[in-house]
Amino acid sequence: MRDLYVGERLPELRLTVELGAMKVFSVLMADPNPIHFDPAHTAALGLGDRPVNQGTLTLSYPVDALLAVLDDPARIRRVRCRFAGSVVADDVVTAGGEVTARHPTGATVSIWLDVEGRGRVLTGEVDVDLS
Amino acid sequence: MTLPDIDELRERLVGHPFPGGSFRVAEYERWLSHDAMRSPALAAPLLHPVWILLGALRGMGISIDELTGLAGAGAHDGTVFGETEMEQRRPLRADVEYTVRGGVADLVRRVGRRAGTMDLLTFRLEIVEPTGEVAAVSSQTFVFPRRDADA
Repeated sequence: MRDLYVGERLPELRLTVELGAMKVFSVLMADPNPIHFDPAHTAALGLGDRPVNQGTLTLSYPVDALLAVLDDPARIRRVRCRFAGSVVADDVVTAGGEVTARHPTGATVSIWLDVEGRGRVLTGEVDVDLS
Repeated sequence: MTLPDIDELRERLVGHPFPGGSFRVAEYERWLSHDAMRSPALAAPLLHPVWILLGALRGMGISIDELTGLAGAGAHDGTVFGETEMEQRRPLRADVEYTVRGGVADLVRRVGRRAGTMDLLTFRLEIVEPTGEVAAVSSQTFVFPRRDADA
């Protein structure tokens, strides 16, 4: 089993947010809000022509960064996060994390997501079971 | 839209149960969602932990639009995700029928220096296995800006 140590940083996950994936997610979520898939709609709202990424999809990126180092997704026990800004189509984002505490049976990992040019848009903590 | 009275809103909503329901994630949905999330490979039928939020929303028996209406807000009021918490007791799996139950856990009004007046509505949902065991718990806070209060 992969262990974690305090101060260890997760390998960063850098990606470009693709409108195609957002459209698939809207269908999967049965989310009819065009703010997530229609550039004409966001433009009409004065938000520019780049639809807004779903919050759940935005959260998945830093969780992915942690999953990449865990050998079992069941080790993720609790995820807490706060959204501080939006991610839009074509944004370049970097997800990362750092182990902040190690307990006898687990660890706490701080996670985040940064948008190129706009800074941090999500922060959170994950409790990981290492028993 | 006029500013709803917070005491009346709390009285009406806190403890209000959602209709509830169920959801099942088909294998092709698992594949497509993981592809959209850029997830590392997860052995089938395991679902990415974010499915706790997605499944809870799918099965809670009320739409986001209806929830927004309950809080006295409209579709164009700029409702956004605030805080989110998900507890995974065991990973969710594709092709399993899960039951969802829960409702509004809290509602508070805050006034931010930059954001102005806003109501924070938290709802908590349990995702239950066919055996009756709780597999996961989702707790989400929606932020409803109350721009009329600051006009």
